[in-house]
Amino acid sequence: MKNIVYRYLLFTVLSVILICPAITFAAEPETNLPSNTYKKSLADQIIEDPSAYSRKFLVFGGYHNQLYGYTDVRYVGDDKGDYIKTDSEQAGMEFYMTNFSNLMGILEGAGWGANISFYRHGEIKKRDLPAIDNPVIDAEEVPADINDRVSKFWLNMGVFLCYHMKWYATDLGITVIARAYDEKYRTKYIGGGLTEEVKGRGLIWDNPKVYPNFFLRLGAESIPHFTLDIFRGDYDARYGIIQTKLIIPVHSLFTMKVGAYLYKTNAFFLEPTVNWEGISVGFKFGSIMNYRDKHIERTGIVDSFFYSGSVAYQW
Amino acid sequence: MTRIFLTIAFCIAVLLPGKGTLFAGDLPQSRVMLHGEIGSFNKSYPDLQYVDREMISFATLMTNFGGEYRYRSAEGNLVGTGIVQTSISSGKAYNFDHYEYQPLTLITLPYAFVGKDFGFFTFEIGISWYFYFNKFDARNYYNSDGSEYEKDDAGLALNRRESHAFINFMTRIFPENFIHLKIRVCRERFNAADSIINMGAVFPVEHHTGELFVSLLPPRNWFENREGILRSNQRLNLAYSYSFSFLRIGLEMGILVNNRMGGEGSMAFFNRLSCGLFTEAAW
Repeated sequence: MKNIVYRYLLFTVLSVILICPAITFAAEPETNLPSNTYKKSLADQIIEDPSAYSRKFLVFGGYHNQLYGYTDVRYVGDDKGDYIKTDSEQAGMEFYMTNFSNLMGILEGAGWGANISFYRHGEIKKRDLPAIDNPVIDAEEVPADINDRVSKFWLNMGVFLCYHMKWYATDLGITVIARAYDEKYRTKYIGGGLTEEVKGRGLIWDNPKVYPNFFLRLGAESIPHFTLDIFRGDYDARYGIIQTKLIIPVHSLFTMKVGAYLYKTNAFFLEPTVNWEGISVGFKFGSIMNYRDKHIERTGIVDSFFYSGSVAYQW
Repeated sequence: MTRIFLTIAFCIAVLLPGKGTLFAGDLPQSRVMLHGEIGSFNKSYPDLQYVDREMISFATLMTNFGGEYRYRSAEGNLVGTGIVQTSISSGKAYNFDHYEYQPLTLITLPYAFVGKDFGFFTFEIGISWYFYFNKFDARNYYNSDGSEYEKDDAGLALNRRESHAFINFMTRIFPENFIHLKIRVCRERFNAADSIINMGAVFPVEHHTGELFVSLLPPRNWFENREGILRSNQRLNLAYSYSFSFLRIGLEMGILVNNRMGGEGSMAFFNRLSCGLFTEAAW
């Protein structure tokens, strides 16, 4: 009996809590709206309103120092990491188009696109590490593996399907990474366990790999919004495969983007962008915070800088 | 069980009509939050006097300061930025035949975010940059005859294994002037060493607000605890604040429940405690 009373009380209280606010919320907006205007709710806008632009063409190029980390036992303390740097450049382009509304109304935000980027880093100069008498440490050279010294080239090609609406955009596709390296030297046995460096075979293609590409925008393009991309936009093919940006339209002519690389390195960057009649010119500059390399704990400030530029046209 | 439900239901029923509107458009547009805290950082190490090498710890002073600005448009669109700095003093303890060191460490964590406040709940997302500076020792290098020379200077520098960039996030379920739940990843009041990710319940009653939150481990730190990944301690926090017209002033206390940054080990109860002050202005 006592339990039944408690249950009735519980149901009554919960009913008051749940139903009364629901009635209030349902009634309130209608009384506040002028009778002769119809304002779409956010839910309707998310479902119905397409993105402001339906086509985009982007060209970009950039530079960073590629670091090769190694262990040098000639350092006395626990921290024995060091690195060699080499220059690296990249360039790429991307195109997409949306609005398939002629096929079906619901496909107004749907579309497709493709991107391509080219990246290279130069030869990593061999570093000869000296022999030490006491403690006894043999001479060595780094990189120890000759294949790590050669110049390398990456050609990334992607295709993707898009769905761009006013309040969000999401794209998904595949990227093929074809890699080549310039084999200048090979190491050859010459008998008696000895080896020598001989001329290499030149430019050689490696096995290609396939990865997914992805783009996500949360928020309308006309207000501050968030993006996350993998192998998309003006990404860095080695250090910034996954990047994220906060895009803040400060003025109709100027947008400030602040961002981060999330993989393979962690970095911060700024990208001030000038906009005019659908054309955007941006300059991205930043610094690598984490190389995800146990050998690289401290770097020179200048060694960690990177920069790139981009031009985009949207219509 | 029914009695517990009834008590909770009555509490909600009493608090629900207690304060004003629940719509985002009526809430303040700008909010500035400042917070400061003092506590201990516990560095753990195996005690070599014991055969079983029992893990013990010593504490160094840890201070934490931060601020956040958030702007909300009439439509509930949000944009904001903030920064937190956690400073860990250097310290050392004698361990049988050598000293255990805790280097001077500064974690500077600026962040920015955007989002949408729907009144009943909010969704906010952004980017955080976790700059981990610590004082490095000088690095000596062997000459070929075995003598040494100083190749790298000692000094405070950015540690590029311990620094990270990641996505921050916050959601609030239920309106701000009602009992609500907050899940915060590097947002609002947090300590960069102790409570980067935290989840809590907020209980506003008229001018008074009580808050209870626990900090959670970053995802990778669930499975492993080593240098080179984003790590955080875990602690339990209690906060109380009082609201004036546009200002809120509060006091918070925390107790460390899981030490990850300094290594796991036994530590004095007092060394687990932290306390802080915070203020919030909204207009």
